[in-house]
Amino acid sequence: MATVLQVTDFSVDYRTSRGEVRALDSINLTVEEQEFIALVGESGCGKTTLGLATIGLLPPKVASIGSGIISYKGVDLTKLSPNEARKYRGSEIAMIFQEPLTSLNPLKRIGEQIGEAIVLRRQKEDPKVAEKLPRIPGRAWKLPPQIREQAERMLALVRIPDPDHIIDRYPFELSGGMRQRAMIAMALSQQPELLIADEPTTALDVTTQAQVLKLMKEIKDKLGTTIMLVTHDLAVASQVADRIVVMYAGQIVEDAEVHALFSNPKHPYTQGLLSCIPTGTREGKQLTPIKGTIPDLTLRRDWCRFQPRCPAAMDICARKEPSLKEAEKDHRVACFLYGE
Amino acid sequence: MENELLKTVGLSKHFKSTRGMNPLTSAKERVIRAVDGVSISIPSGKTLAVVGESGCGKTTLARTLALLIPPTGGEIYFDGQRIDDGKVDDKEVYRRLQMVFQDPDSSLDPMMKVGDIVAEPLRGLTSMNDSEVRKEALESLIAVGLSGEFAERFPDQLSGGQKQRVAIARAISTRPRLLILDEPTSALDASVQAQILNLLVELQRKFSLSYMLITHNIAVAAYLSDAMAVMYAGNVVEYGPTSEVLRKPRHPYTMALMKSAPTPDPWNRTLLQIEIAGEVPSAIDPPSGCKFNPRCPFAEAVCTTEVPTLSQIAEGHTAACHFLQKTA
Amino acid sequence: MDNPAPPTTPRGLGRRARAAIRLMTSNKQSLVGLVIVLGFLAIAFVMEVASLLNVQITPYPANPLPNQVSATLLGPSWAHPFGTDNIGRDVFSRVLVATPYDFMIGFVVVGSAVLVGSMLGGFAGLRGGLLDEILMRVTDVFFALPVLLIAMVIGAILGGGIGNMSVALMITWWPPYARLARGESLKVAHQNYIEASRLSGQRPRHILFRHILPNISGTMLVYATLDIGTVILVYSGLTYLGLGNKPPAPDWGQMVAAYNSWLLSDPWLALIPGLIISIGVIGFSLLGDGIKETLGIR
Repeated sequence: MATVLQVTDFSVDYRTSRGEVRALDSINLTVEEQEFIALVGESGCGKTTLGLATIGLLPPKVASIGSGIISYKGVDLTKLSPNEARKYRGSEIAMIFQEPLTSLNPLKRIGEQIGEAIVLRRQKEDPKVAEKLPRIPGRAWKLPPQIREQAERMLALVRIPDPDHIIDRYPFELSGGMRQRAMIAMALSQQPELLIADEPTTALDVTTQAQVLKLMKEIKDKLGTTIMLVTHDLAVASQVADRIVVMYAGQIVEDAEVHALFSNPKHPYTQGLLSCIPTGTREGKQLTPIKGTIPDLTLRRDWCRFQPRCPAAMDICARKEPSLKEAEKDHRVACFLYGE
Repeated sequence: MENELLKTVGLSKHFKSTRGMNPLTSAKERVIRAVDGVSISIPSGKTLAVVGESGCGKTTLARTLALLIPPTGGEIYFDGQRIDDGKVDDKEVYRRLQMVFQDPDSSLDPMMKVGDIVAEPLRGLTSMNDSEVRKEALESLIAVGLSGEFAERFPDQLSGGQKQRVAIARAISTRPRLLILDEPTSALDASVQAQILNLLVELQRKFSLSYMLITHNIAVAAYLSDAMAVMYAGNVVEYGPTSEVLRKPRHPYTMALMKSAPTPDPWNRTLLQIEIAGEVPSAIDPPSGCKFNPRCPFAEAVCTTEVPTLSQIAEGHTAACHFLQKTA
Repeated sequence: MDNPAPPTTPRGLGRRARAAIRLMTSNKQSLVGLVIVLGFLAIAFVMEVASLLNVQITPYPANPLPNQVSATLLGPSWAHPFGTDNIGRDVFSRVLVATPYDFMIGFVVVGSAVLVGSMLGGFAGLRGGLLDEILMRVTDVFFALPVLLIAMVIGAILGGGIGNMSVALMITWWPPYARLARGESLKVAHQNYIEASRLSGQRPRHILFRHILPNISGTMLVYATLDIGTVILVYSGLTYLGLGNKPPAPDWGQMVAAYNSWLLSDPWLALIPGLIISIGVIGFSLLGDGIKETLGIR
């Protein structure tokens, strides 16, 4: 399988009122074609930042990229000019967010927004296409029939009921689940290679979440899209992902194929996360939460960030910082328990 | 049944819809049946989980039970006494019934010190003098795992988990008998959630508390509760001991709900096997007959005309469905 | 167990005061405004104390007897920084003496408006329903009263003077605060801690004073700060029209009116009091705008 994304030694700093925060610290990650990977971690671990950095949407004034590369099919995304970056955003790499209300234009109908995405794709394929969606002010709106047909197909692909009806609706007329699907349809209209989904189902009901996640898996299987799911919910990740990347305080602490991670979690943080999840009734086992809290990221450390909370901490953990290394075939971990 | 701390009989809460509707279309009465004839009971010292998705009515149910909204119909009995008919002084009730809310940030007054926040129920519901109030409030803080020095802090100096502990300390300060917990851990990180769940278990044991747990998170409900009531569009569709409802759900909605709940088990991807379609129905114009019928894989003609009532499946386990034999 | 948060602060009041000072000195704009306002406040305070003790601390008496006057229509000089007027009174001294009235009236009127408006609006937002409707319609009625007209009517019936004009201003100034307080109160009323307070057996009155008012005070005070300057301006307008204290008591606006006739020949007479008014108002503007910018309020 070809490599779609290669992140090497990538760091991002944020300027905040309390000081500089290292949101991402020397991230090393490889994403293969058609892989469904999940970036999992609690708040502040940097998973969203990594997603935003990949698609080039880091807030310009406060975020500064340190050294390091994000390479998409050989092209270093971090070195692109804004114009060049725009060519990739949307058509090669697409992103969907947690709250569709803020990503969908409330003043435009669904069909129009999907139509725009379709047109953008056509223009990228054939720059001579000067097609633009006609705006007929004051009159009932019209989509060119070709585009309308394609938009309806996209809506059907994401299993929105009555696509010919929904295509004329505004975002506020749809429910949360439908809006999320519409956003996925919009993202897919440009036929991206890589789809980044940032907590896409956190705000949805459980059954709707299941439907949307199932849809995303279908998209990967049917269209061959590579999917990067950002989530705080390890259980959700376990149900859909091929590979899980566990993040803590701006670093990757474990990176393994999903079954390997669950049968043999190596990093103490991963183990801690797993033992936090309530399974079955309380007669089963007591939950063992991870003691302590997430560290203050304004303070730089050059020793293991998890050390203060780690039940297996050794001397070396307070002196040096572990790096992400392969402990087993295709199972990487950043922990001194598995060698220096 | 003896030992029922809280009991509702046919409890209903209807809201008149104020949304602008086209006046030229039907003059049909626009009523939102947020809670529609719910009968549940919570024994002393036990936990009932009320589980459902958005719009099912569980939050409205919680607020009606806490007397924050007046019910439209039905009866509420607390500790053997009827409390919904307006004859009981609500202060009497609140001394023994308290609530913990979902959002830790909006649960605490940012302008008040933690100590005063925890003391507010003591000041409002008891006739203790100031030093007694302080002592009790301190004990509550310690009971939830916070040291006494937290009393002097303000909410913006606390983490999410600490705020939720303060909210719990406030709720138990008058040593109530029942706590209504409205999504108490939904806004918290995984490891903090685990801490709070452990705390809730410990407090239940220590103070012989009953809990009514409102949640959409099946895992949390399974962990904390002895009995479970599954709600859909204002009705209880399945009701029984937690282990039973989990192991052998009989209502098609419960089955879909259980399958949708993500479990940390990549070998058993039930989530990808769900067959449910559609969304939660509109509250103003719900489907006729069984409200779940448009989404139900087992629906037949009668489901669109007749509303099913709860029927017995096993000891203490009921479900409201016309075709329970299909899910046996 | 969670790690403890950073060290505690002793009292709520101290915290808010420190936060307020930090806000007001947060950017150049607000700092300049603060300096101006504090300068005026200091002068007002000193002058008021002096007048209560019946001591003259200005270089010359503000209301001199015929034998105490200097030469008339002198331009600004070291002896008379603002010159002298047509009767030979030292303009600088007159401006100083007028400060306690003309500056402090801003605080008096806005202060009362904040008090009345907060309680009314805060209560309306908390209770909602019919009470809310009634209170807001009453507010609307008062909203419609034109300030100038009311002031002139009261001036005509009861006479002018700072006392009567304060009353006129206080009657008409509170409605925007009631509206603001109601809006803020509505936001607060949906917070869970208000419900928790009800579950603690607290009655609406307690909830209003203990929970609602403290939480809306921030926004109210920002608005009030900007507004004080406006009152000063409006009052100057009223005194310009002759509704202020009767001469020979000095009033900035009244001085501008009185010295109007000499605008071409001895411009400093009318312009300097006008300038003083402007600086006072600008001080509050800068302070308020600076605070708004720091808080990110539009």
